[in-house]
Amino acid sequence: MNNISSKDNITIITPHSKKFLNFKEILEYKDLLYFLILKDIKARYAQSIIGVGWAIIQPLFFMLVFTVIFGKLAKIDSEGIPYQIFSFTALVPWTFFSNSMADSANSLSGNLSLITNIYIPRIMIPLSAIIGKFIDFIISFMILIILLISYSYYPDQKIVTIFFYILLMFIASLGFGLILGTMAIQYRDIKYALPFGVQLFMYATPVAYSVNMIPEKYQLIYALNPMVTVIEGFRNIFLDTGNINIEMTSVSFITSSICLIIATIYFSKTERIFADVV
Amino acid sequence: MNNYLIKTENISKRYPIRKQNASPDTLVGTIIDFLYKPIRNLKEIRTLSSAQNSDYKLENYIWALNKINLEIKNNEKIGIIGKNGSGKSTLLKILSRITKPTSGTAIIKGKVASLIEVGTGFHQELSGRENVYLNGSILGMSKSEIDLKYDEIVAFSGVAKFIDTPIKRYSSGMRVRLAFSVAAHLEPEILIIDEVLAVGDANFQKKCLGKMDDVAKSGRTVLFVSHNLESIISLCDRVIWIDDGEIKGDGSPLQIVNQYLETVNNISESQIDLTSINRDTNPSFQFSQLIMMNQNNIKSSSFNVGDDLIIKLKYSFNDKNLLKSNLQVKISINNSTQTEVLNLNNEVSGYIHKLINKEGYIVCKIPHIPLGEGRYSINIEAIINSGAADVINNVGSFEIIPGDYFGTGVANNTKANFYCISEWE
Repeated sequence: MNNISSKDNITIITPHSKKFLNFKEILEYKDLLYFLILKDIKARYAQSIIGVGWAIIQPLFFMLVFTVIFGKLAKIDSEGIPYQIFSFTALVPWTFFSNSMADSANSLSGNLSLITNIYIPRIMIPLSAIIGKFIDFIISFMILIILLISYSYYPDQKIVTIFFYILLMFIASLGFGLILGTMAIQYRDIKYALPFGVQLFMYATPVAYSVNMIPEKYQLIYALNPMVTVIEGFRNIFLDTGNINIEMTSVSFITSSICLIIATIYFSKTERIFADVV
Repeated sequence: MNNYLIKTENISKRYPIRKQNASPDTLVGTIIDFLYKPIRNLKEIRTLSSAQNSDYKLENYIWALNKINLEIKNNEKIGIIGKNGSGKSTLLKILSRITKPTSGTAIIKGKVASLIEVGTGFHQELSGRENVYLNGSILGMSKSEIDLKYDEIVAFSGVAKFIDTPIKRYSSGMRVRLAFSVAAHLEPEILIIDEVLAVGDANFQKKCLGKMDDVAKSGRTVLFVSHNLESIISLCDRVIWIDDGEIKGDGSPLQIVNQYLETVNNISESQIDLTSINRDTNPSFQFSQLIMMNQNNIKSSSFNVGDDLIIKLKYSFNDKNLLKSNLQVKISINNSTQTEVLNLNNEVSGYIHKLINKEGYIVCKIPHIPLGEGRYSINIEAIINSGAADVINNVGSFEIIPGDYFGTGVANNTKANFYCISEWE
């Protein structure tokens, strides 16, 4: 029983941290990622009556409230599109972004025993939180399709570009979630700032209004917020609004990619002291 | 090539110590203090991370580990002993990669699995089955490995009937059994275990120790921290004794355990000053003195079986807010193998102690102390408003020598751990 495979399994422990994520190790732990996601999904709706129905209740109720307040009372311009589907098309990606960002930001400080009592690649924790939320997104996305068809909006061949916007949405929420989650381990202030920060962020995103309301010369700056492009991309695909252009898309894609790279470096450099600063 | 599995070179780890700031006594001082607070908070939280940078100059810190050099060979079963806070667990955490050393390096050849806690990652809402898979994968097993051992794990745990019930409905004993069963079926090359056997009922503990013995015999390397010196001696073939972050002894189990016991069990003075002891807890409340006496109010740290043991604790506090709070004191008495034999608590015993003066005494009397001969150590803990106010482990020790417990004029000379009255017909 002494055939120890020491040659290919040497770990060197030093005070220094890795420069970047160890992808080989992440691959080794892929089953863990799977079970963490499963836990996330199963635990979230355990012992609830509506269960996974809660995934659609949140955007659906926002849609109703927005339709009454912004659509009927404030009469915000929805470019001739019924306000309910105009806002719901935005609420589906926005709900995913806000929930998954908040979840992954809280995931590390909310799972202290996984950090202080065992070694696992810690990136799994925020990653599983985000992917877990993706199930909710798929469910509300299907509701969106049903809603659109009932209003006779049929997506055309542009629908293939949806994968790009979903990817962008993923990059954005992982980038923000990872930075905030890493900070939250040491500074609990993040936990308190997050709920209203997300709310403020929603007003900086064209969820309840159209990107047209922003003066054209500011639109590139506006697109620094990647969710602007994601939401306008969704609207363009399903509602044919035509408010999206290549410049805004590039700005959003570049900023969110840079944000994710910075987040990954910051995370990797800080990971070594996670257990010391909690 | 050297034949080692684990090698550490000058592993050190330091942690910052928090010092309480003097609170201002003027109104202006209080306002300035209040405004300055966020900056102070930021500095304080930052020292947590900057302490891990070995170049950083820090004012208040301790070395939890100080230049540890170790070589561990294939197949060795190593027991690590030392009193609380000596650095044992920190060493295990570094070798398990949970935390990094502040300086020094370690080389590990082989797959490590560590058990610092039983059931890490268990989720209350998930069923036993789901938790087996989750916990197993957290411990480093792949899904196919767990599939293979699943039946064995469930059988070993003895909770097969409830395996599809959420574990929040389990008793704590069942939860521990399930968690340990998962861990017991790990097959790493190096197994690191930190005091996890202290949980669970005696029967299951025995089963676990048996399982660990199997693991050890199957040719794997085991590092094992425990206060249970008996199991250390029976399981390990080498013992490392750590104290104050340094290796104090390294060698054969019996020899090192005995060296260790000699330092722990030296009986102390009967009157002990506690003001100069280093504490990491909030010092606004402190035990300042401990006195041990017998029934004749004579100070002593040596008692006959059946004497009264009186422990008189002096305390002081400087925080006015504590006035009129209830002071709860726990005294725990451990025998020479560090097993807790008595746990005394004033509130449980029906005595409420209010803090009235900034200095006072609380006295605990154990009439006819029922402990057998041997050496015992005392841990004390103060709890105010449900928070730990002062904790001192191994604050003092005493010995019990033969005596006339039953008042029959005959000193009972047995090796029993306890005495009690018995009625005969």
